[in-house]
Amino acid sequence: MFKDLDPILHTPLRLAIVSLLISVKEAEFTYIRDKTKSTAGNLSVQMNKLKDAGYIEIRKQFKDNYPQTVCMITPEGIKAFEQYVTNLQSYLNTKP
Amino acid sequence: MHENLTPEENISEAEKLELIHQMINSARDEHSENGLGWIVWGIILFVASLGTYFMLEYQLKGSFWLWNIVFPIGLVLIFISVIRRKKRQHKRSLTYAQELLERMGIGFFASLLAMIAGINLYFMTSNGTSDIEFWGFFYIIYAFWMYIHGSALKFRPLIIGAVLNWIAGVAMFVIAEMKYEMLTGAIAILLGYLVPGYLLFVQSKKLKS
Repeated sequence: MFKDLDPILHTPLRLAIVSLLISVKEAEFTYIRDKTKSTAGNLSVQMNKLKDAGYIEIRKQFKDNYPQTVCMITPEGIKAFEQYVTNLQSYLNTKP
Repeated sequence: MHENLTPEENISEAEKLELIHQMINSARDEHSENGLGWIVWGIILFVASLGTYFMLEYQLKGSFWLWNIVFPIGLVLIFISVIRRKKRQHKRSLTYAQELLERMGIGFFASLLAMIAGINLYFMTSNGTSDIEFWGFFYIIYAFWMYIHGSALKFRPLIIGAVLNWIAGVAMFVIAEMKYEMLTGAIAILLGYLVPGYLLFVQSKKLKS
């Protein structure tokens, strides 16, 4: 019996964001944008969805007089990501 | 593979796993070193060790002056590298390894300076006649730093270098003559700093090209 894949992580961009954040303590918005090769607008929308789900935390601050957006994964996000990867692997293992 | 990701597109399970791997590796690659720091420090320490060996061998006067200039030079280099790093750019991401290394770096240099201060205080208060064998301590504590770096970077040559420096440090406690301690140290630095530093440099060039 296949387990349902988390719909929040089901889109490539949201999955890419969470995969990136799982390996770092924190990352700037521009860094995530460059790594995921996405547009700022698109990224912003998807990050807000992840934030609303409680998977990531977004901190807005000033650094050297410039606004800076820093993102980090939450413990809930880590748990969801791990579960997603486990479920994904079970799909692949049972395929002929 | 996944150029311009959009939230709507549908990809297979295998592609999703590939995407996860790509992103994780991409973040991991952020923590890399070009080895220049190791090479610069390696050259300074190698010259000081080997130079002191030759000065003792040929009974030249003032055999410790090379070591006495190492630390001021080192402090100046650290100062310059901190300013250059700050100027270059601020970090756009902070990996767990970077955070750990930064914290351990502070602890390491604090320990090193405390050891130097302690040794100086010892000689200041003990008429300078006692023959304390302290050289090995430096190599042992440097080996600790190399081991942590090598482990965090998953770079085997640095770990092997650390083991060689541990062996050299311990050996110095049983080597009676100062000049042979210096020669042992020079070999440990050559194999432990300069060779891994050069390999890191080559690796970083390859990654950039």
